[in-house]
Amino acid sequence: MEIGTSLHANLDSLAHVGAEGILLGGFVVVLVAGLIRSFATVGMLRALTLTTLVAAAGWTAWDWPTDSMPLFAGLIQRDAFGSFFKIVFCVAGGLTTLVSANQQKNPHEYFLLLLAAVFGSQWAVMSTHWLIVVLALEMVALAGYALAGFAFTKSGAEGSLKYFIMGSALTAVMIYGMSLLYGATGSLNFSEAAFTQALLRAPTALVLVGGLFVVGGLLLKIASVPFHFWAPDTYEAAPTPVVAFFSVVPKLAGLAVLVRVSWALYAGGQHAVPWQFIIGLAALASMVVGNLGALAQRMPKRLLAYSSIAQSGFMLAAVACLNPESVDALLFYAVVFAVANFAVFIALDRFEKSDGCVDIASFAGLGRHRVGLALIMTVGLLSLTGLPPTGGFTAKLFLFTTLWGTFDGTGQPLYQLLFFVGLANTVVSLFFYLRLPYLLFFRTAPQQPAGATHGRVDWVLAVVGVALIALFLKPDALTGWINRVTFAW
Amino acid sequence: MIATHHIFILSALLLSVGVFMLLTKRNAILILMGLELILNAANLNLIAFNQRYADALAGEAMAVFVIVLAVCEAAVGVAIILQAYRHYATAVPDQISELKDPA
Repeated sequence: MEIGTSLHANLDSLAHVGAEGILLGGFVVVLVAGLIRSFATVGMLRALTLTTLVAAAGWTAWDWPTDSMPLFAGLIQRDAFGSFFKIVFCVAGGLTTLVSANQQKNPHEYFLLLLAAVFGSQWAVMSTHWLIVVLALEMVALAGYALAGFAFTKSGAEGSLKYFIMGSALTAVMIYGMSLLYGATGSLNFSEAAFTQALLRAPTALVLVGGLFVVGGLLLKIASVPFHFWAPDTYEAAPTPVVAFFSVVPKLAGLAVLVRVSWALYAGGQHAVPWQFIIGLAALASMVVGNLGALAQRMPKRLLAYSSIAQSGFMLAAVACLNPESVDALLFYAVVFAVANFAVFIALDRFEKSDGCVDIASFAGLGRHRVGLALIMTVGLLSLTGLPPTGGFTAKLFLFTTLWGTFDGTGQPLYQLLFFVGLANTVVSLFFYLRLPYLLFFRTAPQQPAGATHGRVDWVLAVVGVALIALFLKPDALTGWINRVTFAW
Repeated sequence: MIATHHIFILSALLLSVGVFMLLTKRNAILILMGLELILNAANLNLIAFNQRYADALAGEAMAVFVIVLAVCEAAVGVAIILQAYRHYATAVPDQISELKDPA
């Protein structure tokens, strides 16, 4: 292409990434504001960050794409699938910002890293090119490594280091895998037809190794077995709002990329390598390892880390189906998972602040003194288990219906296995999810907790809790949006 | 010009050395060096394969970005290692393990 025309094509593409433009602008504003002494207060920086994220979410909703369109010469693709996740990321970032009022240490850097992570994840969900996959996910990851240590404690440094070593090792291997796939196909754009055709002609061993390296790197981002070891340590040591952010944004960004990549590698079911089995195995292992690991935990954040590994397994099961219905189920599950996680983590954060809760035993009897807080935490945990009357029930129902439907359609025993192992794991997960509500309401506290002024339910928590119940009572509101998502198959 | 498959073998060796360093070296700085080897193995591949698809510079362009990325990663990595060193007075990840599952 002549340089003039390609320049014009790129300038035209710029008009379609307005939400990212807003985030970038907000990033610069926060960067400058933090340097001016009178502006550099937690409240001010928090307000600026929040405004940016709300504006970006609003722009994405307003500028909803009706069809899919490649931008920047095929580097990214603008479609409803990406926009859906972008709104989830902005909302998740906004909730994290709202509950980070106590970030007194280095608030400037904290909010900048948060914005950078959201910015990176927005590009990740649009990417159709290995270069953007790497750059976007690495942007999320580098911000994440730093945020993991933002408690500035001894264990915080350790959690950050462990996350960094595993994360960067797998990213490097993922890039090597991409270089192999480039060698096999001659194209870095994995959504174009030329890539698929070349993939089918290429030596199977080369595609298998390259694809495994890439999928492995993505599995680390979503904290799935076999690359889940960092999650419990990092979750335990990081500040609670950051953990809530970790369990949603990088994970869903990795999942969205995995949906696109696995579809490209799958090549319409023509390729010799059975990618759905490989992802299905990771899903099975994540469910089992996550749930069994959670049973023995004594720290709430560690328990929730294992829970999020198990939840990754459920979402990977939807990815393994590789059909349009499964993407719908995945989107619904992802939203419910994000809301439920925020409900639990925000309530946990309040309990930590008001009663100094460290391990699970210290929650005993607190439910009688902090009724609202304990109720919302219970709703969140019920939703993660998949029990009514919460959105988690609806999400699991959709997911299992899809799994059974895929089994019916393809006759692959893999989906039947995923269905039954998933059901069994839902039962197992009852034992650890309901331990906290049990302690909160059915045990007596050893001593009277401190003043009742702390630990009140504020509007953020109330909205999150009500949203979870609303998703059960009226799932059409969300499915209506999901029906407007047409993944370009 | 060196044939593509020779460079491919070299890069595979570099990857192996890098992974070996990740698995066996105890010091976090040496682990960082192992990472660099893997990233450079990928770069070699990208550039070598670009010889075969010479109508576009996609591979070489990506290699440039990967070089920048490696620098960013090293910068963040060294900062994190320094932070851990301040608390634990060691840069050996095996000795930095207070966080673990209950036995």
